[in-house]
Amino acid sequence: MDLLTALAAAWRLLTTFDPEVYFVVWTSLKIAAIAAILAALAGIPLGMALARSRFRGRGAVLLLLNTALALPTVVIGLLVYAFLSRRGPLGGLGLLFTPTGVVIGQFLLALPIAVHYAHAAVQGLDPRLFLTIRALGATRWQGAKKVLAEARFGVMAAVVAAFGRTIAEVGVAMMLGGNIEGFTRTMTTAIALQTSKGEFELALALGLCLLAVALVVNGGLFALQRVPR
Amino acid sequence: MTPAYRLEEVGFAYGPREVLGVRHLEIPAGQVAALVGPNGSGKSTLLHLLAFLAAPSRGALFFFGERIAPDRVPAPGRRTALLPQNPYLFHASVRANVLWGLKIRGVPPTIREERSRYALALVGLSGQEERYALALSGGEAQRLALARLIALEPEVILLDEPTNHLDVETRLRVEQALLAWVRERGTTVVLATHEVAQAYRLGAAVWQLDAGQLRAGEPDNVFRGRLVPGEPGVFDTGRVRLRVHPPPAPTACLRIGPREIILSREAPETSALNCLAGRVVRVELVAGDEIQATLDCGEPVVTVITQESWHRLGLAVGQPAVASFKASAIRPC
Repeated sequence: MDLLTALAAAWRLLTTFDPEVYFVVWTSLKIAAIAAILAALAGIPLGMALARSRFRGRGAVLLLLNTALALPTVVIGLLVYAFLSRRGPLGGLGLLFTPTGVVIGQFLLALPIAVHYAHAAVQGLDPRLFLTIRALGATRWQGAKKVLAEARFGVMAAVVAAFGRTIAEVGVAMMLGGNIEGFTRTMTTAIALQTSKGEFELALALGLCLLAVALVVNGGLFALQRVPR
Repeated sequence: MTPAYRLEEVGFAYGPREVLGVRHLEIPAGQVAALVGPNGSGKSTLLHLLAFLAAPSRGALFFFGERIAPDRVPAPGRRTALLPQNPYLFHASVRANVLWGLKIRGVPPTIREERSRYALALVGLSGQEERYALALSGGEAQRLALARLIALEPEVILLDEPTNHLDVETRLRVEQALLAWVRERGTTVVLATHEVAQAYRLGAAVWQLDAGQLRAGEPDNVFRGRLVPGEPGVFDTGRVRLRVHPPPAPTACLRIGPREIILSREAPETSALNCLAGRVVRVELVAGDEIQATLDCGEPVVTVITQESWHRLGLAVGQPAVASFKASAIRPC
């Protein structure tokens, strides 16, 4: 089968709203979004704190953080697998090859990204902001909320970038989800499987969906970065 | 009356280097007090101590008679409010900028709106509520920052160079808004400025800070301008020309103490090369028994003379007078 016929078949799958295709898309979006939101919820406060505090070993933490940004997905998959597999410390929870397992792995993958973006956003704020907040009598908590509001575009970029990472990765989803049809099969794992089976239509259809998501995500990031500050 | 602040042997150090030393300072309540000094003289540091944004490294600080223990410094911004040099405006509307400080204090929404309207009116920003704060001009931004403080109705307002970078007209407007506020509410204001004239215009009490040390006595008159090329010993401020001897190295700033100036009704026949004619704009009793008279000679000129001399001259506010001083009494800053 040549590429063109495959593309045409893929297009047909998408336009006829093939349930298999859309179920995979839905699973993907759901898992990636949950993981990204959790990573943002944990990572944004961490990034803000990292930007505002001075402690011994802060440089080392930043170095580790930057390294973690480039962590291969399969390494995270491997580590979490070791914890979740039946003989692992958390094996009793039975989370391996479940959507929750994938969420845990993708959360760890996206966490450094969320921390990094939030750190950069707060670091980039005008230093006079912090004095002004204190001088107006804010408590720590009120001040943090104001900082978050002033860094809102950078913080939103943290969420978007985290989602961009979780939706597009394949290693974690494959190793921790196991590509179980109707359960943990995501767009990326499905593409890998269908391609190895030589069934290009479904792979291409999902690839197109993934591209569309990537376009939306990056469009969002692009727009956020161009907002006048 | 209990002073708003009393400082005894207070010092502040960054690491081993002490950047501020105040042996004794009492700031009266319900008035405008001014701290004068060049940039880097420790004015901002002192204001931060008074705003409780920093704790002194030594000495005792009393706030309305109450000793402030180093481990129990009041939360900044509750009873005091500081307008930092170059204040930051939030990325929001003018209105939202004023409301935030009230919101975090739990002021009910209707009162918030009322106070915000009042404060914005006081600084002349009524009708600008919905504008984006960052779209304001420099003068408007400064006035907004002031309104943001005023709306909090603190007991003490601390202002760090509040009219820096403002044009003359805006500066006067801000000053007037401030004075109106103080009179109405009995708020204590501490103003840090490098402008001696402004300090005297606003301050009932004026102190001078020099290299981190609070100096007793009144600040010098400071003239900013340039030496006129080709005319040795002539300094032009744009409003008055001064004679200075010996001609100093090129400088943009000259100073003379208020006690080195002779006040007279008419231009005297003396050896003094500088005779500035003007009008008395302000008269005040200082240090108990001396008269501090401010003349507007194009530049403001502050003089201090004894009560006896003052009564002999029989001058009053609004009358013409002449300030004379020797060319050799002027020093570069």
